[in-house]
Amino acid sequence: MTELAGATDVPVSSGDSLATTSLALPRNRVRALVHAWLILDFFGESRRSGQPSSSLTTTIFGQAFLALVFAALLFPDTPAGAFAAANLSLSTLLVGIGHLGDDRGAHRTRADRVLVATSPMPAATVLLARALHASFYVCLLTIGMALPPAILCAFLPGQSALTVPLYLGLACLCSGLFTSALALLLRLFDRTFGATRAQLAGGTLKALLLFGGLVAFALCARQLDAGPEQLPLPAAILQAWPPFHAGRVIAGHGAALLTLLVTLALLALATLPLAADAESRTTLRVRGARPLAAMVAHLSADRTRVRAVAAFTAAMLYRSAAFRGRVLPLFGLPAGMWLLAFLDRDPNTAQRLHALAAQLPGIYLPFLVGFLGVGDEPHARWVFASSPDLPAATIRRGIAIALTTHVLLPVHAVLLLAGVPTVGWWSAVATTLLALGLAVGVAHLSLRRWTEVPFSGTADGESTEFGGLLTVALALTLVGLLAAALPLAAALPTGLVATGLAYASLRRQRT
Amino acid sequence: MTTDDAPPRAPEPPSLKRELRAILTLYVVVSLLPLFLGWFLAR
Repeated sequence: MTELAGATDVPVSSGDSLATTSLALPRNRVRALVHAWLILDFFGESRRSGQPSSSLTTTIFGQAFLALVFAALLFPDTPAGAFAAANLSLSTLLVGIGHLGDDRGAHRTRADRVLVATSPMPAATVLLARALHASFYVCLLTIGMALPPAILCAFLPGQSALTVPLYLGLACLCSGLFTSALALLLRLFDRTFGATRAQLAGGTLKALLLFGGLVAFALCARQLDAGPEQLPLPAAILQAWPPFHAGRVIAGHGAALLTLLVTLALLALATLPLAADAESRTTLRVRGARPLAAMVAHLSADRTRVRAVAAFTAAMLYRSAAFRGRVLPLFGLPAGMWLLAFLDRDPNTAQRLHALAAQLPGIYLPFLVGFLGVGDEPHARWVFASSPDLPAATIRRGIAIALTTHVLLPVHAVLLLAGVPTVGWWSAVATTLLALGLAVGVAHLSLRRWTEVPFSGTADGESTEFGGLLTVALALTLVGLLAAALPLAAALPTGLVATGLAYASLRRQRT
Repeated sequence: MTTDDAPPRAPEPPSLKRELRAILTLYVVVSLLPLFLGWFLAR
């Protein structure tokens, strides 16, 4: 990229000019940077994994189709304002979630630190290029999703063909506002807690958005005709959500546009202090008590290799952006459904639902195991393949320990806390203990054919086996229901026995 | 590496213009269906 920097005033050598002309980069600095970043956006991922073309076109088509289906469901009977607000909510949410799922951020930041920050370019030029690139990319994704609802919106009563460009503009504005707010939040996290935790926060935020989006759509879908006052959401959330104001603009309240523009200006101003040169940043590591790591050490029972595999798997479970991108959304949606199911239920149903919900981590575990093979660096397996004496049983035990300490225990802790208000302390503890023990058993079962170190393969090289998944899900559901029917005096010992067996299976394996 | 393996071909240079043109075509395609649907239902 250094030749890009000097593209306007430094004559380039023949080798450089070959590289520059093959990418057909413009000679203007800002345009060259935007062009190069867009090429990375479109082709970077496919080049790394060896695929021939960009996947962005497929993504845009898929999202446009989803937007069309959603808009068609609401189409003739919803008022224009509510129609626009609901559809804009979908596109804004999807663009925001896509932005959070973007796991190339860290690589790109490092590359920019070396290539762009060292080039003789004014900071303002880089900032301008960055702003142009981000807005172009967001608009490109948003317009694909906004076109079908925009066109349908123009056919609603009281709307004209002019609604289409207005809707498209508002869609880009909403997506821009939401993604920049998210980016700002993540940047703040980055500055405060360090890059790795900011990445983790991004993955968690993604699951929360999916969860919140599902709940909000389910709650609001029935109230769309009744006007914004009837929506079962707090007024503060509505006021902070850009599509709400955009819907008002479409409904004829032009003043709401001013609110959106003022917010955009304020966000842009807030971004400026954080847009400083990435090079001046120090790498911050937060150290504190690490109870989960201590648990890994305890369960490994001083077997160094088991502990190493478990620690590596545990670290990658949280750090691998690709894994989080695939797995966390799997949790967001069932969590949303679970919350919806809990609303308006009597205590007996709630107890059965809690027992079923406690089995969900066990049911989901084989999916997680299915995604464990893929690493962030393609073809990294040779590093482990060249290590001496790493039997498959050691690897399996390491993975089982990591899954127990870093996935099952935290998830069950959350489920326990969520269950206490509905079913009471002891009942929640008994259900959780049984579910935890069973889930560890499921972990052993789904890892029985595992032979390689996780997070080191390629996406297409893995054959994910989901055979028997339905059987496991049905069996766990049945056991969950049976356990809910047990009296507490029997449920608690059963749970203790299950957890004890799981503990023994993890700690005492002869590997 | 055996003698049967063909030497790897140099990948074609990525073209942003071609990609953007493909996306524009896609926009036109995804506009047609709602246009038809809206016209049909609003009649």
